[in-house]
Order: sequence, then structure tokens, then C-alpha cells
Amino acid sequence: MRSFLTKRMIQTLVVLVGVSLITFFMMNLAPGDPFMMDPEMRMNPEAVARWKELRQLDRPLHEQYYSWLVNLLKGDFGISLIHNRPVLELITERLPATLLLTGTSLLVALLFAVPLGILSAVKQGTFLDKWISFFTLCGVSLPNFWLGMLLILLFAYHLNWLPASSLRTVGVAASFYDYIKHLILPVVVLSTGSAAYYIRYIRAGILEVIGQDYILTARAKGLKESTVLFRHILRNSMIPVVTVVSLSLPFLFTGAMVTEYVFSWPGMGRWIIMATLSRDYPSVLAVNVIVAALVVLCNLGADLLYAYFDPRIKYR
Amino acid sequence: MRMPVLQVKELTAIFDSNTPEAVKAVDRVSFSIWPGEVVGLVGESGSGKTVTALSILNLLSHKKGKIERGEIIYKGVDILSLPEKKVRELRGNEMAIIFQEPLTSLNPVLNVGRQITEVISTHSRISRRESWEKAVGLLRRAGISDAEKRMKAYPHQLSGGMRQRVVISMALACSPGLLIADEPTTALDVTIQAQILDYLRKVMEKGRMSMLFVSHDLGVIGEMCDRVMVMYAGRILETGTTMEIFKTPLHPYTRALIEVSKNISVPGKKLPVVTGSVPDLSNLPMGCKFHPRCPQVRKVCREAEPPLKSTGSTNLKGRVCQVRCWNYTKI
Repeated sequence: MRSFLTKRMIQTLVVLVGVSLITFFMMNLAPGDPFMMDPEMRMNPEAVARWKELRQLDRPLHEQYYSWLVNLLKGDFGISLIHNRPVLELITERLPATLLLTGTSLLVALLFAVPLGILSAVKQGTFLDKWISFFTLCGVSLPNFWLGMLLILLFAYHLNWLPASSLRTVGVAASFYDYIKHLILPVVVLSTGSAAYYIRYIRAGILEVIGQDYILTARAKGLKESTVLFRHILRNSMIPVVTVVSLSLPFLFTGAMVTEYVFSWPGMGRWIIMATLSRDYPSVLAVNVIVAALVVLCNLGADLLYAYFDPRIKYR
Repeated sequence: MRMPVLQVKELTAIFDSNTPEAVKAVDRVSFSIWPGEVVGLVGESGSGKTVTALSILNLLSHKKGKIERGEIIYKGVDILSLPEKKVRELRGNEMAIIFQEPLTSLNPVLNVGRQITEVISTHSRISRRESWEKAVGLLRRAGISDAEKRMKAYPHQLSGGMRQRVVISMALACSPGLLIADEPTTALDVTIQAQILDYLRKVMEKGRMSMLFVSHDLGVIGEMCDRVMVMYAGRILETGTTMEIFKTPLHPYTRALIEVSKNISVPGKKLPVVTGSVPDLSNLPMGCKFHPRCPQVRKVCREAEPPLKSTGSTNLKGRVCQVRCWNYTKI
């Protein structure tokens, strides 16, 4: 177990260095620069040169990368080229709003997906299963931005029941009720897609186990259907579900970029889009490295969970 | 007069298929099993042995099959007319089954102890401690050394023979009246097979249990069973005591099977076979289902299916021997 973890840690480091290298050079290869949105600066080449010197953007790329890496090891993600503030500060400001949105969406998605997935597998081939399958297909196929706009159009514009944007009403004291009202539409959008996705995985996972001989054995023992389901079927069908859920965890951090954009949510997603468009190199780098680290960590977590669910899996 | 433990009457089991008519895996099969008796069910793959076995527990629906008609009478009660809850009380308790492949018939993520104790706790109200001890005792009697320790093992940590001992312990946990052994030793090597058969015989000696022993291996059937039923294409072709079936087989199919199994170990000789192959259940021949492979085929065999007729000889206990062949039936 220990040697397994050490091996994985070394792999993680290699992945992170690789990701940062690729991101760094890709960003610099991309056309444009941090001032392309700033006409005043564009008119003034001398100012640009001065600014580049100040931010050390005039040095060779490999030197820039090296100093970025050294700073990162000290816990310094650099300073945003656009906001002129430490990247880490920008992240910690936006992360809570995003976590509120994505975390709630994940919970809501699982809350619906687990029972519906089980139901649809247990009632395979029935009318109910066909309806659930139809809706999951819709859920998977609807693009988030489009569903978001439709919901805004109906519930915010026409019916005026729910707010269309932002995290809370400006100028009013923050209240729980107000937050909930703002959460509903974006959470519906985000959880529809992922719930549909999870339902399909849960259903497939259960169906694979239901046909196994040991399930017939369990029934031949005279166990109740509920015992067969919860003790014998579910635990064996958890592995694919653990995989998809843990692979979606890193996106709790980046937020749903498109959905946040559509709902003007003051979170990470919208900021990442803006940072990329305005070539804010340090911000984009920081986000990519953090997400890469989260992906690797969540994978590791999934692997450890496999061993918990299935005693046949052992790591050495 | 004593009652049979199990009576199967006119059992017909079907599977939906892409053909216009459902495939009949078992067609009007009737037989009885008496207390303390070991009845063998022998036949090639696809002859309907396992379907018959699963039908007795009314578990066929979980294999996408359906009992079309017939009665399964266990100790006087037709289980097909019982509500599911009542049948559940019989399964694992009064009627237990051992499947062919011990690895796939054990749940890979639960330890052995849990899998045995859950049968006990489902059917009787005893404490955890007691059912645990009972399970340890079962394993020990089944010949598992270090039974206490093995209780915590997972199936993949045990050898094939040990797994089958676990499966048998599970089946015997509630001292069932009827044990259905569906090819219990087919997946095991020969030495382990002998040990398992020995153990099953020892269990039978107590005389409280009856057994339906399903196998394609005539040698094993000959060793284990009091009576034999030969199945082919979902029908019973011949029944009789083991002695009769082996000494004076009547049906050409039974004769061919026995001939083949006798000559199987003659060195230097080509492996004997029953010529031809098992018919496709969705496209059965007219008349006797065995006629395309039968050396004694006559005109009538191609035209009409012979009935299962008593051969006239009854054995000591008064149970009839039957054969389904035009050679023994007046037309």
C-alpha cells in the first residue's frame, strides 16, 4: 500500500509538471497578448514595452517558466496581468460562490440519479424504465447554455418567478431564502445533465450485476428482494458509479463555465473564461495546475474506493 | 403410504425468442422424488436439466424464462400457486440448490461467513453468535480446515474445491428437505470431485433429505443416484433405477450414452461419440425428437412422438420404469 502511494505521488508530480509546461507554452503560442483588450495600451508601444519589462514578460520563455515554477513551489501563483492582484486571492474570492453552485448541483443530481437509476434497472423494460431512459437521453443531449436560456426566458422573463442572474439580490441584506431563489435555475441546469449521466451509469452497472449467478444464489437462499438489491447487487455495481462521480469532482472547482456565464454567477467559471480571453497567463496557469492536481487526486481517491468496495482489488 | 417429497406434473417452461413461437426448454415433464431418495437427471447440454432445476424453486423468471404450465408440488403444496412471500420461506430453507460454478455463484464482495449466516438468519430467529457458530460447524463438517479463519475469507481467496464446500454448506445450512445439485462437481477436478461426492453421500446417509442430482456425467450419476431420468430436448426419454438403466438400458439414446461412457477410457481407441448433435429447440424435428440420431429409426418415429410408457417392470419400492420409444410401445 505504501509503495503504491509513493508511486502514485511520483506520477502525480510528473503529470503536474507536464500540464504546467504544456499550458505555459500553449498560452504563449496563442495569438494576442494581455493588452489586446486595451486600445489605449495598444496605441502606445513604449508603455507596452515598459509594462512587459516590469512584469518580466520580455525575458526568454524558459526563464519565465523557471521563475514561475520556483514561485509556485513557494506557494505563490503569481500576479494576475489583468487585475494586478495575486492570483490566489482572486481564486479564494470566487471559489465559495462556485462551490455553492456546483456542490449543490452534485448533491441534487445524486439525490435524483441514485433512486431513478436503481428503479430503472430493477424495472428494466417496463413503461417506467422507458420513460426514465427517454428523459435521461434528453438530459444528456440538452446543451446547458440552451437549457439555461430557456429557463431564464420562462421563469425569469415571462413568469418573473425567479431571478435570472447573480448570487443574491444586490442592495438587500443577504438571506438564506434569497440565496436559494438565485440557486434554483442554475442548479436545475447543472444537475439535469449530470443526473441523466449518472442514471445511465447506475442503471448499466446494476443490470450487469443483476444477471450474475450469485444474484440467483442470493434469491435461491430465500432473501427478500430488498436484501438482494441492497446487500448483493448495489455494492457490486458501485465501481462504475464511483468512477464517474469522482471524475466529475474536479469540476466542482472550475465551476460550470458556460452555466456561470449564462447566469452571471460570480464564480470561478466566468473568471476563467475572462482570464483565457484576455491572455491572463498566470491565472490560466494556476487554474490548469490546480485542476490537474484535483483530477489526479480524485483518481487516486477512486482507486482507493474501489479497494473498499471490492476486496479482490489490492494495491501493492 | 408415504408421500413423495416433490411431485413435478406436466411442467412446461418456455423462453421468449425471436422465433414466432416461444422456445419450449422443458415440455410436459413429470416426475416424483420420494423421501431419502437421490434422483439423477442426466442429459446433454441444452436438454433442459437446469431449467427443470430452477423451475422447482420457481426462479426461472430471473433467467428470462417462464413456466407455462404444470404443477410443482412440494410436500403436498403446489408452490406455483403460492404467493412469492411463501415461496421465499421455502427457498434456502426447505429447498436448496447448489450451482455448477462455485466461483460465480458466490458473491465476490461478501465474506464467506456472511454468505452462510445470512441464510440461517433469514429462516430462523437465532442470534448472530449462534448462526456464526452454526456456520463454522457446517464448514468444518464440509471438510474445511481452519473453518473459523475461513469464515472471514472472500471467495477469491479460496480454491475451487473449498468454494464448492462453502456453496454446499450454504445449501445445507437450514437442513432442507430437498437439495437440488445442479452439476455440483462439473467445474472441479477429479480428486476434488470425489471428495465432494463423498461428502454429499455422507449427508444423504442421515436419510432426512432427498436430492435431485443433475449431471451430464453418467459415471457420477451411477455413483450417486438411486434412480435416473434421462432427458433429451426438454423431455424425459427414460426413467428407471440406476441398476436397470445401466444394466438394461431400453431407449436407444440411453444405450448410446452408456456405450460411450464405457469406452471412454480405452487407450489407443478413437473417442466414442453419439453421432449427430442435440437438436435446436426452436426447430425440433417431427415425431420422436431423437429420431435423426437414432440407429433404429423407423417410419413411425418420424411421424409421431412416442408417449412415455411404463415398461411393466416396477422396482422394489413400487416405482415404475418408463421409456419413450416406439420400440416398446404398441402402435
